Amino acid sequence: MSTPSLQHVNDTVEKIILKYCDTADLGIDRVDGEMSLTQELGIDSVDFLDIVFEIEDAYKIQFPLEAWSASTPNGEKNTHKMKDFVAAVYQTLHGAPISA
Amino acid sequence: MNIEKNLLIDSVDSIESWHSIQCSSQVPERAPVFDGHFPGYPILPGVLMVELMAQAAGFLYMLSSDFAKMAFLVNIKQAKFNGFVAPGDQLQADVCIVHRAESYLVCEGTLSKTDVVARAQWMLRLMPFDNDLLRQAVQRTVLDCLERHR
Repeated sequence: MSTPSLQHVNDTVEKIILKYCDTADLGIDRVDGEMSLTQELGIDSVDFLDIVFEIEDAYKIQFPLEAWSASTPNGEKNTHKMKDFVAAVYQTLHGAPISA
Repeated sequence: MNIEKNLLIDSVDSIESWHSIQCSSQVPERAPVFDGHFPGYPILPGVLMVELMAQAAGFLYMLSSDFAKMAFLVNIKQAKFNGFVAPGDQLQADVCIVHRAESYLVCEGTLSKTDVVARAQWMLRLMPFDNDLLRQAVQRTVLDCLERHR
């Protein structure tokens, strides 16, 4: 089986994340890559564990949650954007970052 | 079962590292919780049934990892209660890890008397021990329960 494309990863992650967002309250049915997972989408740390679990289960991977969580931009907590998360999942799947 | 100290497991009966554990617990004849739950009809609260299974999962992790991290219950994904548990009942928890990651575990299990009285799936977050006192206390408690069966 070929490794999923970036678009496939994005769609899968988006579908899972939407289950954990109050989409009616947020007024969205898609997740923009620039959206912050916690601040804009309202995903808390327990939701995030569930999301990672579903992604790991879907792709049969081990996502490096601790390392990724610790590498938050500017040393702040939980400010990762959707596109960063998708890129990290993609990198876990492919063993390499997204090529330009 | 020591409800006052929230140590709900009496003994570890069998364990398969990183996979499954079987624990026993006898519900005490008397405990303050039964005064209110319920007057004249004492039964073990459902949350304590889930807590017992979660503690068994914590024991499984601790013994499998040689007490590498502390396990915290962070999410009860589902729980179902099929029967009442009364003072004096003998309980058995059968718990397994269904998904293992670096910093969390997804576990599921059943609690039985002669029949299953509760089943649940939950998540444990694995975090470094906050201090040595905690680590030593947890280690002593878990190893005591393991020793009690042997």
